[in-house]
Amino acid sequence: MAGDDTNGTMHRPFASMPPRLWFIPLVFAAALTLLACVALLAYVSAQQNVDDDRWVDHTYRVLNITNQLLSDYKDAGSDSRGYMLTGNDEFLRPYRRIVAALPAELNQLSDVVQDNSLQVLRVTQLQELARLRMQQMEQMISTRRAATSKLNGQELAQLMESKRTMDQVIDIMHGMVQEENRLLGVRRADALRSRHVTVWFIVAGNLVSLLALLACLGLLMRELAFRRRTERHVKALNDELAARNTLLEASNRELEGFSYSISHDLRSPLRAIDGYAKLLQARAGAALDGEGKRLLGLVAENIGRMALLIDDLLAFARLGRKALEPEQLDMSAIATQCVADVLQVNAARPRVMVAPLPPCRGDRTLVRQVWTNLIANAVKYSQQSPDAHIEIRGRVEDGECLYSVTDNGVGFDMQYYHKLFGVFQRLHGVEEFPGTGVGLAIVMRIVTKHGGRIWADAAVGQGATFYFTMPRTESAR
Amino acid sequence: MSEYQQIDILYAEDNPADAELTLYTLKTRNIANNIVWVRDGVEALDFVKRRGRYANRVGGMPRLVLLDLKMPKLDGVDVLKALKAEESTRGVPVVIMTSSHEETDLVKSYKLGVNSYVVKPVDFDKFAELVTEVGLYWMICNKTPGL
Repeated sequence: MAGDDTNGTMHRPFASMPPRLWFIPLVFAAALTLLACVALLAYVSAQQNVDDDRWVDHTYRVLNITNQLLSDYKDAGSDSRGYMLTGNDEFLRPYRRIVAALPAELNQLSDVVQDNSLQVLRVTQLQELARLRMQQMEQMISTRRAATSKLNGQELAQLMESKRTMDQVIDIMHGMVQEENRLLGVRRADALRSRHVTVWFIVAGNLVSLLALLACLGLLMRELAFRRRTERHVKALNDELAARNTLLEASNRELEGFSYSISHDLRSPLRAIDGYAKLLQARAGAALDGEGKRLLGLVAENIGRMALLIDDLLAFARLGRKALEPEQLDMSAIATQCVADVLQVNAARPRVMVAPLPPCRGDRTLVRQVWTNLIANAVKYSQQSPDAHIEIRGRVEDGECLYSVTDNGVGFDMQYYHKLFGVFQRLHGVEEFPGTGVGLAIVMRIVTKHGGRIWADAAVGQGATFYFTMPRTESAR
Repeated sequence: MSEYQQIDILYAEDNPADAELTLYTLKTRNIANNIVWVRDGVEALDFVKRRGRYANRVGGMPRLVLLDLKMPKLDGVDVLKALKAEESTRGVPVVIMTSSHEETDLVKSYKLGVNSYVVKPVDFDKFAELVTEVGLYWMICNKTPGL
């Protein structure tokens, strides 16, 4: 993870302290949770407000009914008193009407105060008193009917009695009104307080969420800046790499061109040396003694060796310049052809077995070179064996073609395996086996250029096997 | 000296060692008698066209022009081009004998109509063999119209 500063010795000149990336989602989650809580709280508060309002409405309703009841009672009382005083039936009509409506009103009141046990108790008392009062009033009215115009003592007593009851009723009602008013006050205060708390929570919650989100933003921005810097750095490194590559390629090409022209230009004077040496030998050879002849012979021999070296060096250099022209190759045909070519210039006659080889993709000329070199080596190093035997095999393995050339010649010491494919490196003396030591280097270069691998296995006196892989089909580089 | 002297070979080569070895081989093996050796392309053309120091030379067209590719002033390709461009000299066989076996040189030479292209080996014995074969072929086997 780019954010981990696990290796303290790593040089980071462009970032002070990379942020901890796991912190960001955590803080963000906290912010979201907080917002959710705030939303929930707001919802609950709204509901609470609705409820509070309902209660307030309820209280007002109760108050309404109670007041209505109170005024009705008073009206009934004054109407009855009016009749008592005047004996006029005019007062009785409204009285009767009110009296008829009172029980219903009381029931209504009873219903609305069910929430408050105290009020329920009062209503029950009211209902009792109402009945009592009605009784008293009926009594008074009938007494009045039966009596003369003047109020007598009995009537007066009844009047006072009913007035006392009336007062009781009125007291209770006042009590009810007071209670409801008190409840109203309490409920209002509760509603206000809960609203305040809610608002405080919402504001605080939002603030904290905001801070958390800002913190997230800050962290993200820092991470972004860090990544951008890294990107720029990587790009700069890549550019530098590309520039170095270009330089390297140019240098390589120059080197190859150089080695090519050197090999080429060395030939002319070499030819001259060889020519003059041989002319000398032809002209003055007879006059030379044994030692003289030997020395001259060495001159000729070394010239020959130098010529071979130049040829090999030229071949090796040419490899680098030549571009690959891949095509599908019939390896069986090519290998068989190369065997024939090698045996044509070689006196040795080993037994050669070419097994069916899988086709592969490669440059025909270069692949021919590979086979020629490997087969020539096999032939050369098995020359001294009485029953020289060479086997060429191939098979498909893991999507590549694997080929092998096995001989039963002198082999080599695996201790010097690391020198095997080096340029001009040899594991045998030139007196035993001629050669400049570039053949395997050439083979390795060709195989590597195709994207394959080459390796060998041998034992002293028991021959050697060389393996190389080639790409199967279109996947060649 | 007769009016008409057969020029066997016009040999253009700037390297004195190569020249000496070639001439030695041609002479000792009796491949050709009358060989004219020039050191660069300008001299070669001067000889053929009878100008410059060869303005009053004797003899007709050489039976073979042996050309090295890399020479100062005018190189082998230029000489070849000049020779094959003229009607009067087109019939003369031109053999390029060079150390270069660059594909490009080969292609260029054949495009210009060279008659043969051989590469000088480093080994003297092989070199002598080559010169002998080439010389014998063009001097004895090959027929050219009288020029």
